[in-house]
Amino acid sequence: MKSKAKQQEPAPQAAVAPTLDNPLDETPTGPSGDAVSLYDRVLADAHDLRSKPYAASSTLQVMRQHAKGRMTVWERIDVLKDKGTQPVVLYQNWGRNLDGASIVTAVVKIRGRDVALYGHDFTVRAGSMDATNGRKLANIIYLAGNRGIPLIGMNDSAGAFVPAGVGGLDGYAEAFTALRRISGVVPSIMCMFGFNAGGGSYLPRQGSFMIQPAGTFFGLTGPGVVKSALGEDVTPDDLGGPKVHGASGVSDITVPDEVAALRTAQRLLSHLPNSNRVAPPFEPTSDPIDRRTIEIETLLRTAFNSPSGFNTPLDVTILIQQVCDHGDYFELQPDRARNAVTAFGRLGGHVVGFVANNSAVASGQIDIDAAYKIARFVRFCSIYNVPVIFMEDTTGFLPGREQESRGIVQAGRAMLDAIIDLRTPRILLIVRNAFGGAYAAFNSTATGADVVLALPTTRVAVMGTAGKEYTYKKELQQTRAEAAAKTKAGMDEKEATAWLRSKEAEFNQRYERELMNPREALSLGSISEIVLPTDLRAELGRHLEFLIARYTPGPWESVQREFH
Amino acid sequence: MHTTKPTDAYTNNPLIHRDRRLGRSQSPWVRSFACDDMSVLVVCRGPIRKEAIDVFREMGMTKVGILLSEKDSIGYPRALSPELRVMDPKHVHAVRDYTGATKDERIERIQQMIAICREHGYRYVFAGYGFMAEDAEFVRTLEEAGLVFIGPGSYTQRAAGAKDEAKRTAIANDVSVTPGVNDAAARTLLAKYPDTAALEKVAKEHGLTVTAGKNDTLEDSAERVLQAGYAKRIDLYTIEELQEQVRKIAERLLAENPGRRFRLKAIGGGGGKGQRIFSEASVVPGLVREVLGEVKATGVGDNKNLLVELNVESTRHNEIQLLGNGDWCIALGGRDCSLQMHEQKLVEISITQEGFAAAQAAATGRKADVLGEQLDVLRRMEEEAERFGRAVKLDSASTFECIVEDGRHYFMEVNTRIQVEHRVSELCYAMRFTNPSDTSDWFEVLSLVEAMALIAKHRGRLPRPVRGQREGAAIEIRLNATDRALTPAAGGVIVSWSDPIEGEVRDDQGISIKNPDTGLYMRYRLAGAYDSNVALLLATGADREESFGRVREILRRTTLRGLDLATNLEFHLGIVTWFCARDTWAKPTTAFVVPYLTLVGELAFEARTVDLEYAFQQIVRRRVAAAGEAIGPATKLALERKETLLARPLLLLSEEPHYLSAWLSEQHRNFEIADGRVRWLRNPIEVLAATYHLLHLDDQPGEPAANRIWDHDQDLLDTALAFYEALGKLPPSPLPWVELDRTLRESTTPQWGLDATRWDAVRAAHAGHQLGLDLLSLLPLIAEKTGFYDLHLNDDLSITIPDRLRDPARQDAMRKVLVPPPATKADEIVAAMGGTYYAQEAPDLPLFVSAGMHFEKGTPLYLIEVMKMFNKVYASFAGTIDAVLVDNSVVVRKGQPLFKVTPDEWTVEEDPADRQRMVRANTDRYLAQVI
Repeated sequence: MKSKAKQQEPAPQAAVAPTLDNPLDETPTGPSGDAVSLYDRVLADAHDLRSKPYAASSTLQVMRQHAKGRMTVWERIDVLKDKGTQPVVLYQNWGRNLDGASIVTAVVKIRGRDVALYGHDFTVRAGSMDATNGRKLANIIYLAGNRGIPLIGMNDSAGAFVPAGVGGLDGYAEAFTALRRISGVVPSIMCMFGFNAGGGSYLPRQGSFMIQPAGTFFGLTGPGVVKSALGEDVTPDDLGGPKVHGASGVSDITVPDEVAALRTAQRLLSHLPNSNRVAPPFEPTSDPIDRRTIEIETLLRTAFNSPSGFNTPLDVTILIQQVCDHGDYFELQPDRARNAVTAFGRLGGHVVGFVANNSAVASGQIDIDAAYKIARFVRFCSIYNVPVIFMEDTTGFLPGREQESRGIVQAGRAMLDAIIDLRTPRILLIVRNAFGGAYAAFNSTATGADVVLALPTTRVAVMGTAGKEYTYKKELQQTRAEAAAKTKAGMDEKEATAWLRSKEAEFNQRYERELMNPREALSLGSISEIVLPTDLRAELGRHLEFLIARYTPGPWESVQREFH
Repeated sequence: MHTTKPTDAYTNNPLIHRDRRLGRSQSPWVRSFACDDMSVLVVCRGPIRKEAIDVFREMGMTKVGILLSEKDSIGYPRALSPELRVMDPKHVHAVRDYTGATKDERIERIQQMIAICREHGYRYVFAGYGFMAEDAEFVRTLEEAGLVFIGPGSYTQRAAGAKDEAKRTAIANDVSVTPGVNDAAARTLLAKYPDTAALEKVAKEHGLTVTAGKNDTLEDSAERVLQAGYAKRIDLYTIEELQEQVRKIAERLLAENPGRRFRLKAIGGGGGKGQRIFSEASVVPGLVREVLGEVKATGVGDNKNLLVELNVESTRHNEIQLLGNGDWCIALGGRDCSLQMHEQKLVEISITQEGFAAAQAAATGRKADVLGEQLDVLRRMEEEAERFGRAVKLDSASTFECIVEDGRHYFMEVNTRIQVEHRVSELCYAMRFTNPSDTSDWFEVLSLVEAMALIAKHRGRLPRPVRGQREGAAIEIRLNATDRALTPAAGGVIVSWSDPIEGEVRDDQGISIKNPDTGLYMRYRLAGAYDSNVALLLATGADREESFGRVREILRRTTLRGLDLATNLEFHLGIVTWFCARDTWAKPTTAFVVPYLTLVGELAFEARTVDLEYAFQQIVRRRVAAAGEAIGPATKLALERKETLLARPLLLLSEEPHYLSAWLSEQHRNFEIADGRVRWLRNPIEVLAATYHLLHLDDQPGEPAANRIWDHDQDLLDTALAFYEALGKLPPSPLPWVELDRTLRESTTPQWGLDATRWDAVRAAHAGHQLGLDLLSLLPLIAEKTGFYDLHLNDDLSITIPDRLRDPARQDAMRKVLVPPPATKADEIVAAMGGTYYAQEAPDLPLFVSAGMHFEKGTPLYLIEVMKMFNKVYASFAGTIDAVLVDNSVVVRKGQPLFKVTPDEWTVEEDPADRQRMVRANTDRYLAQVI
């Protein structure tokens, strides 16, 4: 319409330079700077300094951050902290420009708890690390460690500030060192915002958990370097987006956006203790501890009575859900190796770690990814006074060339080491299959389990039905010879084979009946007791209560073992 | 849960929650209706279950149990019934399912429920609107077991539930039914043999054994003779005689219903076969032969009976809420449920006589006439419903369903249960029960579920209530887990749901109950094990317009966040806004929603060919160039400053066609399009502010910054709005926007008493604030190009639907635009993992798939055994199996081809660069109309 008017009457008006203000605004502006006392000037100066980090970036820089759909560090803090509370901002005037040096460090309240946090201010020099702000970062990290409060990192940094030279690298090294020093002392959660490369990835991965929203990247180097070094064309998302890191386990949790990342951090935090000196937060529950878990009975009945019988996969998270207070649990690494499930939940108000084989995915076999996933989680629980309930339902480790060549022996070992080392109350529940090496490794009595419970469907054995070859060696040889004799005697070969198959099936059934059950393990004391599916919550709750009452939370002070 | 709790819209909402304990009354008469000693087993699920638990507890009952099916407990993780968070586990009883899949299972389930009642001491059973609720057999079995069903008794169930009997009762009680005849054959016979004697004679001639009933009418006798004839396979009339008879019937019906069309149906027809529509009698004989031929009923002895029915052209679906105790029956207003798709209701709107009368009084012309007509129809429907209810001894809540067409209505059926949308009625009418011997002694019931429980316990002791108006109007929205094209989309997880706003009734099965221990929102998977309904959202108002406005506000402010989550929330905002912007008294037919969706699909298609970010860059480039050297830099700076302010909301609109539809409805009076150019009739800055408001970005203090308008954009917008507000006061009398704008652009001489400096400053600010708003004009142009406003409302409140939107091919194409079906490039399906392949679940069970078979997305295709676990693998797209490449029970490796397939949808390869060129060229064409 504008141009239409223009076309009809070509530019009749004198051009005016557009402004974006309100010239009709009559509100008086603040008192003019004239005639203030010396004291007033000092005060005004202090005000300026105090507000400096908030005003360090221009509106256009903030707009650029927003145009990418990202919040500023202050806006992120606002989402994280309890409403109505003020963050205690530390070293607000750090750095030569007195603007906080593009990193915000603060102590905030989250659900009433003090939490240390840092966040890069991308709107100030792209949140880069310079000669001095590495120490600022290290300071908040040490503060968290020394005072025994959790740490949250909101990473959004372009990397080292190149003009700062080696100083920027030293800054990273200081921060790395600090984070390693508090590792195992206080838990930390790292949110990955924006585009973090190099040190910006290595630093946060030292934390306990990483949360990555969609539309972000982190990694060794960005696609540009990859292109010039290797000639590979790859998008940031395909190189270091949440799908990539979620599948590898580098990111523990992937979420749709920044707000979800911060909310997830809050939720995760509600399961973590302040430090290795205390237990995770207890929440009294209104869910009766003796609530009968009829649903588990139904689940097992439905699964095992289905056409595929005892070989029917089942989703183990349903068991976890039924055991937990009000069915609420928090799964970690849900996008990676779901043949094993790791989750936090509460039982009788106590935080518990769940480690479960999940036969619904890839038969619940333990492969390299599952083993590392379990190892890391168990190690975390061990350090931070979190009791662990294991749920076993696996026929063993995944064999094959691919696994061996990638090092399943090492990965399985890492899992086994973490389990042996586990020092917190630890319970094993055998759901169904517990075969061979997996049985031995997966929190068996011999590895130090406090209690081993077994559902009636338990099948503990050295191996599956292939074990008939060893158990009934002679009888099988005899049967096979008989089959051969039958063929010789003129029986149709097909018929003879069919006869042999049916005989072998009988041996299978016999093996299942005689050896794939909990009897031997019970007699050896490897299984403490049989529990009924309907009593699972009550039984687990009872044992846990007993064990927790006799466990004193504190730092892990045993001999340091080698660890992969 | 009673008086001391602070009001909040979810757990203590004055509209639906209250202390209902009559036992606490001062009056002995009222006290005598106490229900606190009732013990109820709730045997249904859905939103009604949580509602019933709440209402019964509010009535003082301490023993309310529920059933819990496997689908609600172990079907999927995180799909556990949310009601459990507030239930004592003692009162939760596990069952396999709520209804049973077969008749035998159903009988077994009924026995199981009775056993649970006996074991745990429940005397009453409540079935909500579950399948069991209308099962006369179920109700009778309960009654025989000494239990009391909270709902219509078995007598009413039988009398009102069976369709043929209900229709007879309706006719006997002077209830309007579809005009027509359903006994053309008997009439043909009677034309030949007009009395009992003649009939007996012809029966004897053919050696037919006819047993006469006691009170047989002549028609009954004719019917019996015909049946005997069919049994013996002889014809008692010729097709020619039948043709002539039907022609006569048609002639009479057409004369009685001038201008109408009728439908001829063969008795053996179905599924569209054996049916013809006609509008003149002369063609009827030919049609008779056609339909009989179509259903293969032209042979000797075939039943050749035909039905002739009025063809209802534009159906509206209305229903009357009924409540009775066996003696009395009262109608509690009605509901208009015309907004539905594939028989699934989406929106239910209250209709009351008071509402129509008030609207009629306020209206003029054709609209007033139409509203008056609707008032008459409603009055008749309510009278007939009450008559019908009394005739079937209705002793609880039921619904009297009709189809309505202009000034007529036709009874369809009675639903002998409480219905999903019952709250719409209870929010409009309260039921006042008064002591017959003392008019000052009374109590009020505001809940139909409460009334049902009261009747179940006190029956005949309850006097007939008087209905009193509560809210002037109510409306219900069905929030479903469906995608943009309203097809079910299960599997999503709700991670958070904003708290209900004031005046919102949210019946969500308890999904929003937070973890009672931690207060954190609990994730809930929409497993889709039943239907796709997630929740019912209701709002009320003094009149219909207000109720629509409020429900629109609920839809606008509801924020559901989740993983893979799809609901019809956006659709509802679009369609409710469509009505709000035109007239909430509009009369959509049941055929409205699909064309509307097609229209939205067209919008989506066009919006995807416009690149708004590119458009903004172009606008910057052109504006800066046009501004010249002197003011170019200032222009550039100002435009840069406005990028997020302008681009963010428009991108959101272009990405969600339902929002775009809402925006186009809301703004449609604020612009004109002439000669392909948009002329704003309202200050585009205000339009922009309204856009932020529509998207719920402007008014949520305390919410994360990312979910709100950015602070710098808010500052800019506030400054602009304040500027124009002050500016608007300067002219001696308010100027329309077009005038104001022109003056500011063109007049170099100061106006309105401003000095030259101020005038220049004002002009500069105007130029700055209007900069870049050209981008807004793209939206009306998209609407113009797609013909969005072709779907329009007429003076008589009917809606004109353009023919193109009725075309099934176009409807299907636009559905695919809204929700692209999963496509694939592959012509084979490979093994998802290595292991033993099985083509069937067990040796004695059928194959999952075989060559030539069509499969849908989600169909199980095969089984892979890996280390003694049988993993079922499902199709990730739809297609047809061309060949099975592997034998049953052989070992396959990961990635090995298993089937050759032809997918339903092939991935269309499109070069992204070509696509970008096309989109930019199209965007340039749009820009040419703007700048």
